[in-house]
Amino acid sequence: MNALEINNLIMYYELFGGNKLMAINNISFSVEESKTTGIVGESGCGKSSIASTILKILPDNAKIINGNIYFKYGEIIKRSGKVDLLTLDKKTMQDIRWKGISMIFQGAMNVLNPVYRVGDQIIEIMRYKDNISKEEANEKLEDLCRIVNIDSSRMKDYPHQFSGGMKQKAIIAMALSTNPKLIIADEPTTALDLISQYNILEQIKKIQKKLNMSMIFISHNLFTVSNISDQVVVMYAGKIMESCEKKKLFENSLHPYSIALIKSCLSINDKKNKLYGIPGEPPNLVFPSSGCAFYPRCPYAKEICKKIEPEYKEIEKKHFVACWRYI
Amino acid sequence: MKELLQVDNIKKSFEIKKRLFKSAIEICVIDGVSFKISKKQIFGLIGESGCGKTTIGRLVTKLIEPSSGKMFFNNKNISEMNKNETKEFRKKIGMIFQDPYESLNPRFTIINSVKEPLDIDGRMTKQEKFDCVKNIFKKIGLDTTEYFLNKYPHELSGGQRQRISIARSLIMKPKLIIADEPCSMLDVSIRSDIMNIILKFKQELEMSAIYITHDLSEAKYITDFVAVMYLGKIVETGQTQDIIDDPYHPYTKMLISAIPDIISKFKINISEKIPDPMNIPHGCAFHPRCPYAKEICKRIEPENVNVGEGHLVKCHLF
Repeated sequence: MNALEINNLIMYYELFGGNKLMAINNISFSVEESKTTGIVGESGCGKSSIASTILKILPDNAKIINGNIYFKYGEIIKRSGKVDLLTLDKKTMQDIRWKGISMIFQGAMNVLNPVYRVGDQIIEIMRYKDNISKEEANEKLEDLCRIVNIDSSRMKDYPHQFSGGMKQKAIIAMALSTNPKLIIADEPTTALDLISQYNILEQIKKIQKKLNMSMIFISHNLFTVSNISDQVVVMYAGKIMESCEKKKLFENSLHPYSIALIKSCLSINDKKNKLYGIPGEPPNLVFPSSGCAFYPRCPYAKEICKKIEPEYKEIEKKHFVACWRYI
Repeated sequence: MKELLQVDNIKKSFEIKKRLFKSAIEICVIDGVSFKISKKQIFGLIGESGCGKTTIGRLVTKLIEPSSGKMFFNNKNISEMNKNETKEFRKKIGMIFQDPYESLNPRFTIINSVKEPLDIDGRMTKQEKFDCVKNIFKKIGLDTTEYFLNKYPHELSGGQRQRISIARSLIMKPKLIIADEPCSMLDVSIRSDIMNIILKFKQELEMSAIYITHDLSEAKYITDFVAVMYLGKIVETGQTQDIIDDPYHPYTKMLISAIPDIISKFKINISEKIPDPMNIPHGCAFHPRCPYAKEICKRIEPENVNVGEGHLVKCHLF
């Protein structure tokens, strides 16, 4: 059973002068219950746009023109069965946020309000969303501190007194505070050093097992994603290039972009002396070229790739690829 | 003498005022660090955030003065240079900063940013400067059209900005560059390009570099020698390959096992305790997090032990 299912989603940003930036171009994927789906891709490929589309926290110039986002837990807004998030009005969507789906935002440094105490900011959400008394909220805060491994006496501190890793943990505590069914983690470990990154990933894994949540994990680092997810989605230029189980991605990746991405990753176990970047620049999403989005940088590009866009097809069970080489 | 830069037992402490009306506390950020860099060598400094890597970069470029200890660049003591000598010295070093979004002036077009060192130098004509910038842009793989040169930093992507900071630091053809986590803010696919550029210029300009990073896999690719730092001290130093194949210090092992990778080399318990530079533990600074800590580690600070060719470790276990 899928906790979240996205079908044929298309979203663009309207730019000044009437141009359209196709941020999400016909995307379908799903998140299995109590499993993790990882999304990888270069910056600007639309990873974070997916996250904000699911929560409907897009800026005014964003337009969703097609697709469904089915969320399994309709009971949160007192409906039975799955609900399409895109059809909900503003007020019902408020109930989905935090209670149904919560988010760990990118850049922990800028998410916390600098003039409020960290603990108060977490309590505020719990009291607003769960309607609980101050005492109950305080008790719950202590539990949360234990889960994410912060000393609960530090909750009276202001954000500037926290280190980067601790701020990130506080934000994870915030996302967990309302017992959501699905968590979207948008680059939670970027800009942290390796040891705090490792600790936070381990923590997230443990919490997920304990509370039985589903998760979408967004990152540009292939190894981080592979460390934590069950299913990996590789994105490029607003489209999904390949989606498969994480083991398959490293053993038997099919799309040239995934192969190039794996090649450009640094591994300490590797004996190779030359490191490969992906030649060329990321594509312009305002004036996209016809055909496959990756063909200008692709070493296997053929005549057909220039003209017609390849279909996103299931090749094996749970292994989808959009490339002319496999059709 | 072969060494380009020699750092001899430098210390740096900062004063911190915690409360009003109370006397300041002195915290030691760099505690007795020594290393040498020869020509055409890339030296890596590795450690967690807050261990003093960036402070070393700033000390070497004479942006701040050390509390004690000596540094020699081409046999000249850096702290004893007068104003003119400092100016000459600064021409020979370049610096690449961590954050390409903040290190470029948003009100300067990129050509102005890059040619500013040449303007200050004042020896070239306008046309020569222009050619010089174009030349370096071509080598780095940036567009050299007039349109691109007159862009402002906000119009560029992170990778392009970092390339421009590299171009700026290389335009005086320095003998030494200090790269302070140049790749940590960048995407994986751009990272390798930036590192390849640094390696290319190392060959071309015969320059040396100090490469500051917290990622050992980056260090493995680019550096010849590395020093692993922990709370202001170098705990292990040696050739990069030796240290990665055969790490001795428990902290180095911990750093290696924290790298997200498909196959883990070995597992060591990674302790959560974050080091606090305000009160550095007695004895070996690492002992509260060390899984192999013994009684002696709490009392006596370990000395450097030679465990192989130039491979030094500060640990009681050996």
